[in-house]
Amino acid sequence: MTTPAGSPGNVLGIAAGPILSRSVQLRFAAIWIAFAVLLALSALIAPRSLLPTTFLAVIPFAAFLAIASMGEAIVLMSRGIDLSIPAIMALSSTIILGFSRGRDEDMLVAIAAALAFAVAVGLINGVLVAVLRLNALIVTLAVGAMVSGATLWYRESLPAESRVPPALAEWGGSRVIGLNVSVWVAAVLVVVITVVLRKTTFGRRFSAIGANPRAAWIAGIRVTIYQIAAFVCAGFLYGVVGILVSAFIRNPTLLVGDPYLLAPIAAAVLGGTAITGGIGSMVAVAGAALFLTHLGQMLKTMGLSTAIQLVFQGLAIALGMALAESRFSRFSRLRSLLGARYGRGPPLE
Amino acid sequence: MNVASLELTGISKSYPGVQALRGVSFSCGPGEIRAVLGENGSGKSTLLGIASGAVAPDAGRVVINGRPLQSTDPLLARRLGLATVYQDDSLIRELTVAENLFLAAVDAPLSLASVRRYAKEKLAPHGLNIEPDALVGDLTPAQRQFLEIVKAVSANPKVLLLDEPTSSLDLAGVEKLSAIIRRVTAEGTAVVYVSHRLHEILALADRVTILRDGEDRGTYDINAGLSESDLVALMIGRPIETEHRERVAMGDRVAMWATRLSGARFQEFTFHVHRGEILGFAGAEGNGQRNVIRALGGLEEASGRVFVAGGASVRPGAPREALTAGILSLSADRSQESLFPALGVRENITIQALGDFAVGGLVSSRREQARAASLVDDLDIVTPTLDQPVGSLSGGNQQKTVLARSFLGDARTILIDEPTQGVDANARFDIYRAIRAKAEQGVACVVNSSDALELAGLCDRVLVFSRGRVIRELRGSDITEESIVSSFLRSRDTADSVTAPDVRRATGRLSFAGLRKLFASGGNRWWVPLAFLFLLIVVVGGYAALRSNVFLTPINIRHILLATAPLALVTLAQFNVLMVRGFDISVGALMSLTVVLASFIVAAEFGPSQLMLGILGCLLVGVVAGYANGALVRFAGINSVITTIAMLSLLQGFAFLGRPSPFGAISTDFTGLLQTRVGSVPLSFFVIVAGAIAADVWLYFTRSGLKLRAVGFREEAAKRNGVRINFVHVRAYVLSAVLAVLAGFFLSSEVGFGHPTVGANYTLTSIAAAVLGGAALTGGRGSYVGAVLGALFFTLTLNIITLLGLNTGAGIIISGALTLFAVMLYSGWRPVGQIWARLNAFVRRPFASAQTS
Repeated sequence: MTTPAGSPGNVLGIAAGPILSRSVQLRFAAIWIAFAVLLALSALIAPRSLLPTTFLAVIPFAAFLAIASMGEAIVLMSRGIDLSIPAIMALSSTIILGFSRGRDEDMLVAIAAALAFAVAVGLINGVLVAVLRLNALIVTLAVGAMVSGATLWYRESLPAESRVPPALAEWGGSRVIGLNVSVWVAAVLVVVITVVLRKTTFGRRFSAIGANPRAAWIAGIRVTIYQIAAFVCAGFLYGVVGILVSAFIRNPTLLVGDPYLLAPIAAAVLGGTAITGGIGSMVAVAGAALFLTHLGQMLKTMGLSTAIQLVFQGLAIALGMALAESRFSRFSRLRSLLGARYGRGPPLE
Repeated sequence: MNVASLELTGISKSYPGVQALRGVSFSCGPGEIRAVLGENGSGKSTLLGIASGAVAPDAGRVVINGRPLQSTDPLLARRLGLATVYQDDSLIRELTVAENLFLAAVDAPLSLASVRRYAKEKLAPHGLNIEPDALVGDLTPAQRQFLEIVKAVSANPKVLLLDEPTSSLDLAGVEKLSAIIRRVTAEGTAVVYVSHRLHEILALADRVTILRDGEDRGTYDINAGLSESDLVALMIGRPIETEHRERVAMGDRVAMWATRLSGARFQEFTFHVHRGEILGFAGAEGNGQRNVIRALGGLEEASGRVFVAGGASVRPGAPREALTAGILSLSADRSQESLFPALGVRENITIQALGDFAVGGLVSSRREQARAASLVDDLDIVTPTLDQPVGSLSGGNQQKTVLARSFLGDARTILIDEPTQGVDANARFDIYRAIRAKAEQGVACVVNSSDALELAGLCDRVLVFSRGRVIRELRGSDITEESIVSSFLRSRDTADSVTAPDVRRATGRLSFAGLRKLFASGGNRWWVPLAFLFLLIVVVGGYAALRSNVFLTPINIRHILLATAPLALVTLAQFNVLMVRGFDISVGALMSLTVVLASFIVAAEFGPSQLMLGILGCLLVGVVAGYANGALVRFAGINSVITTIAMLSLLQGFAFLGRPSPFGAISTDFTGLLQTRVGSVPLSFFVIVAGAIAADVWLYFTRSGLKLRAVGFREEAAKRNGVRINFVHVRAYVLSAVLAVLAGFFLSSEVGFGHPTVGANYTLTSIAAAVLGGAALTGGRGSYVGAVLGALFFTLTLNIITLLGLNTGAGIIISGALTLFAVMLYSGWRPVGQIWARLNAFVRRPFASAQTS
């Protein structure tokens, strides 16, 4: 009889290497298929939306949305939800204005301060949710309100006509290999976060606390720390978007974050992020950001109101969730059938 | 003989990997007490489940009182005259004794006012000393068990099913129960009684049916000729499917021990386990053995400490500490407590040992992959790839995946709760092999199992539990299925009348414990949030009156009350959904859309009949939106936050489509009507307050209101009491949307023209105001009047900020802070208390360990 501790290296017929199982692949591939369908559709009904000039004009917005959506996706993966994105973006953008006062020499300090404040708000969210066990929805809405109030107050102390430092504006409008710099920032962030999530102990434990916090706690993982970390990372990303958007539009108002309340949730959900925690792909979320941005552009070139985009977004969230949930419900039914409750002993015994 | 009260014919039922019942027939006449006897897993509970309509049989037929049970529906079984006594699973602990009886009763009085007398009447004949006003959560387990029985008996059933009714009862309780059973059978009710306790069965039952492995082993009259050992002999004797273990000579090196450990369902547990030993925990389900193994592994709290070789000691309730001390615990509840169902097999295996494969925080996927693959191979885990989500594997492969964890890392003691539950025969064999291999490596293994044969095949030593205590220790060749089963079946001890010390209650202490308690229980006493809010309003209003001489002028009061109307209505809307543990994020957008819609179909130039149609049209939109929300949440199973966020996006989009910018006058006849005054007070305020009071009367004094609260507190239990839970949920979302449309009307009377975002800020405030008014995010608590008061308080605060000339930013900050304050107030104390207690424990730790060692 062989002992189960057996010799290592005894690899059986299982193909080694970084394989994703089919269902997981499909979950994340779906958005790219949808994107391809959308492109084909727009080639038919709104070919102008596919012009290179349109593409170049629109892609920075896809990058902004992608970065904000990754933050939201990280929070969703930890089983939270974050509705403080507009507030944090407005805060970091206003801090850029206030700390730099439009001077290049204070630019780096202003960027550092903007990120620090964004991270601090994320930390507050995280502590209230993970340590005090308050509902994430209410916490992020309430903290968001408080942050907007404070930002408004601070903004009123600044001159009405404030601009970002010229160097920042120039950087924000610059192109590298033909694409706006924010696209490259987004790409780097996608790669870094993907590597952290998939390849580090931190990222692996993070998926575990999202997939099943109780089992993670039993497996000795400090669940609270990881839940706080999710909000902190998200805060950082919102801070980055706040700075990028400000640099891009040069004289940001307090409304700079407003489009980013719901769209990141839509992008995260469409990108296959499990609302039940644990699984998510930053590449797919970025794809969903591209999808939503292009959808908006297509509707605009068709002469439709941008408002219709909100309608589509709502339908997309509901549809995306309905598909994901139905797959999941089949899955969980199977699980409960096999699980302890209906196990060898019949129920209730 | 006349018609049987309960007749089951040819019942079969299988679960994956196990045939629970095989062609069982069963018939029980009026006035008969029938015991059903069998080992753990023999199919008794499945049989009861099928008879009560809770479980669908694969084959066979159920006839209750001469009428067939045509569908799997507990409600139908109840109507046919069958009542089931669950092990306190159908009680709602947050409600009182009287309310629980009222919820279930068929012949109950119409109003809750007379229900106390009704409850007294029902409790009195059984000699039960339970206060109708007591919260069920405050009762002892025995009292709850009796309450379940009274509830079932109150319906005057023709058939009464009892599942292990005496496990929480002491000797006096068992006698009382016997008296109740004799009384109902005297009235012609048939009683089916499932129990593990032979002497109770012999004393009480007329006849006994024995099940073994899902098969009927015969029905016997109970008379002086039938002895306990006859019954035991009939129950055991399953074909052996494990090879017996060559028992090794036990080393004398103790790996882990505990002395006088007490917890939720066990008292003064003392034990030790040696290195290389496999120690079994046995007993009928629910006798504390599971709680012990969980406490040892840190999954449950208990008083005392657990010691491991080398001198370290571990506090129960802290799995991380246990793991550091080399104790690995594998829970029986795989889906909730061991598996990460959505993650792959590899990730599930290596999660606890990631550090072994990592260099500088970076996991080497090659080494991890290789190790996981070799474990998959060794344990014969059948999976298409290493990254297959483990939730999609069979029970046996899931269990093997969990077990594979014990081969990584350096656990010196492994605690396994139900190693083979839901596992097929082949996988079972692999699992036994793995456990033995661990023992041969010198690891101490503790196994809790409801399967006596499994323990007999696997263990070097077995501790048999009954009612929270070890009643027998079996060693070596004494360990047989029969010796284990007869130990616990023949035990005559009864539960201590003193209940186990409540560990959790002891942790909260120090200064703010009293305050915390008041607010934690505040939701139970309906007036606490109301009194608190009232006080808050008086204080804040008083401060404003002192600081500003405008505040108390009739015009300002009128202004405040007018502004309260939309917020109060939308708070009432939100409250409906909060009651059923949901959120409605779309209310604000629906208010905006209503205002926009009103600017089209309740327009300034319209006549009365057109206005009527327009108003109805708006309400119809509300009904549709609300129903869509409710249907997505209940029938498509989407989380309420995401559903209503999608709805928010949709509604906001429509609002923008209608009026991209503010435009379109709304009928002044209509807005004027809404602003009608009585004296200087707007009529709307009176109407809203009166409506809220009426709604509270409904919520707290009628049966349908009680059903809503029951669904909010505990959906499963409410379902068992016959509440149509889907209806209650969907109704909440529809009510919410309709009230939000009404709120939109009042908002339009303030704005006067179509505006696409005017309602946006109301969502957060509606949640905050409802919570401040006593609504709990966990459902079931709160009041409509509280919601209105909460809205009044918010409006008041914002008014004062304006009056005192504070910055608008300050206003927003204050409303956010108030929201946090509101959620903290009723739900945030427990974690604070826990942190406090942990800090305390940390400071006192040196003393604590000195005392125990």
